Amino acid sequence: MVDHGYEEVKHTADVALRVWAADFNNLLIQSALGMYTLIGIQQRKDRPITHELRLQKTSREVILVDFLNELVFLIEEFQQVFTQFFIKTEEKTVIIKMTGFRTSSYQREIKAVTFHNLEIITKPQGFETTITFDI
Amino acid sequence: MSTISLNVFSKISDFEWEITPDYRSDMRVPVRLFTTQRLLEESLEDKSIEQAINASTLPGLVGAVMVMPDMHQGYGFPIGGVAATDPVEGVISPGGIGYDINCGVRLLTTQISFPEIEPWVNHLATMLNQNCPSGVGVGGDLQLSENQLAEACVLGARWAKNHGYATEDDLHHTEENGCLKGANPEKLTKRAFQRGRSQLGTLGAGNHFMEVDLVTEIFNKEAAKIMGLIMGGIVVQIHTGSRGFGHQICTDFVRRFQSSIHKYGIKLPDKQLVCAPIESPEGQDYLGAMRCGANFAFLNRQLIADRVRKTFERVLAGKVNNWHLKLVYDLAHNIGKFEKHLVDGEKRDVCIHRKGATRAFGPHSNGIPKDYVDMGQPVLVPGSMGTSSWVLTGTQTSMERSFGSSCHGAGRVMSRSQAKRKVWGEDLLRRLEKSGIEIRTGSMPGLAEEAPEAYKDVDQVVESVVGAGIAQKVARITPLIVIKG
Repeated sequence: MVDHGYEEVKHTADVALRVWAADFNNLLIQSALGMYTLIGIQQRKDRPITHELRLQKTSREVILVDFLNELVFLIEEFQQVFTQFFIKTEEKTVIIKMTGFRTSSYQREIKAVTFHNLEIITKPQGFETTITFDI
Repeated sequence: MSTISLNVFSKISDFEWEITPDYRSDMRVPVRLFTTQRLLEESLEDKSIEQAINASTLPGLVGAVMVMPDMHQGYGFPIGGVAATDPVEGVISPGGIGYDINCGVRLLTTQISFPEIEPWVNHLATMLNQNCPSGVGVGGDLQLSENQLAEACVLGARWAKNHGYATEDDLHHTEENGCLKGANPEKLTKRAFQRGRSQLGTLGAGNHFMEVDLVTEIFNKEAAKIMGLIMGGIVVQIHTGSRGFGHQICTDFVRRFQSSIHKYGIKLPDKQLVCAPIESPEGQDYLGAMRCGANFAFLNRQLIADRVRKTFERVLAGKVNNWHLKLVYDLAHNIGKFEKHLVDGEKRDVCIHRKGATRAFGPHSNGIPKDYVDMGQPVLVPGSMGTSSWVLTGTQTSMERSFGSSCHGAGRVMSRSQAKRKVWGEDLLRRLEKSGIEIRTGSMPGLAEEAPEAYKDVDQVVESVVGAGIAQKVARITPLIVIKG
């Protein structure tokens, strides 16, 4: 298995994504990239934009859902998509500095990132999870 | 694929099945399914039954968890699920209502016949598509300030009446008169306001749609007459919900409840079933916020209906005798409400969660429009794109057996990616146009995801609820124009 990646998995009504990575920070990044793929985002590669997220350091599952829901909001409200992520974890906060572009179009709306059966599993190669999105 | 086999179910009738609470140690109540064996077997292809069993573990449930024949796998609750909790001992679960709070359908009827409209169908499709904002990331013309939006989500469809977008008759023909009492904008986050302020009057994307249909069969002449449905007449369906506003409300409370659930010692088999005691501060805050989302959706469908009326006038005035559209009914299929229901022979207050299920109150029930009192409320069941939709009515049996609830649509059988692999959007477009349906869509992949073969046969779904006695047929309608975001 490649040490990180994502793939769409079967779900009748909504969409689900299996994501794996060697460490938790990369799991967040792969989840973001996978979600962007599900949405079918096209970038307008003119002026780069930057954004900083500060998330409460709670359980890994909650951090993952909070992170992706922030990205959903940034797409819908500001038409922003990010391609680079620098993640720093402090005692109570996860700080994510992101750079990216404005979206030129996207094909699918994600209503929300759900907690449905969400569990981040630790494996010898790192972390793996399956995320269900309401669309 | 489900791990459950058919022998788990007790057969009550050809249309009713039950899983008793001894099936799994954490079940608190039975799961009752209104479906045929064929549809039940199809449902074993996904995880919808497991999800219904998971829902039956919620604290304070009364009666059984009900599942409708259009059931399919959701997240947390199955889509097609109905659960009632005790207002004092029970909980409220945002996942049992869904992210698209008060996603619902409205049906408007006309006195226009097909021959009258036939020359104008193409132009009408184009104009409806142009005048009614739809599609991914498309906002509306109505930009409200935070204060205006707060007022709108307290008043619901009444806000539309106050601003000239609705009639009093529209409000009377909307579930709860288009306004859930107890909406509290103070419980909304800044982000919910941000997402909601530009989305009123928009259809959205996904499975949301607008259709112009033809009444092709009438089964109950009296009920059809009262609803204003005429054989060969033109009707309009609008299917949408609370858009980003509702999504954000649900997101905020699912997140908040993840932290608060430990306080109440509630253990659940799935984090998405997260809930709070109804009487707790968290439960009360969610109810106040969720009702804002529900009212937003009633208003949203009303504003779109106003656009449809103006478009009909612009396209058809002077060409047909009477272009006016009368609202038959507007109902929710993702909602949480307090209602009185029979539980073990006793009438009591319960908190009903309907997730992909429709209220189907029978004759002489409280809360249905005066003109429908003798026949029961209209139940609107949209089919998959290009196939029939149904107008039904609620029955006395639905009041006794299913907490006054029935099915909400055809129900998916195929995932969206499967549908896209099997169906080419352009081919589907040509196929539907060849069968005489005008399609307007912003996305070919989106169209393929909603292909008729991705759904159950809506006729079978309807036969199941009629067979179970929880609804009665009034009319079948078939599409002439489909607008998809």
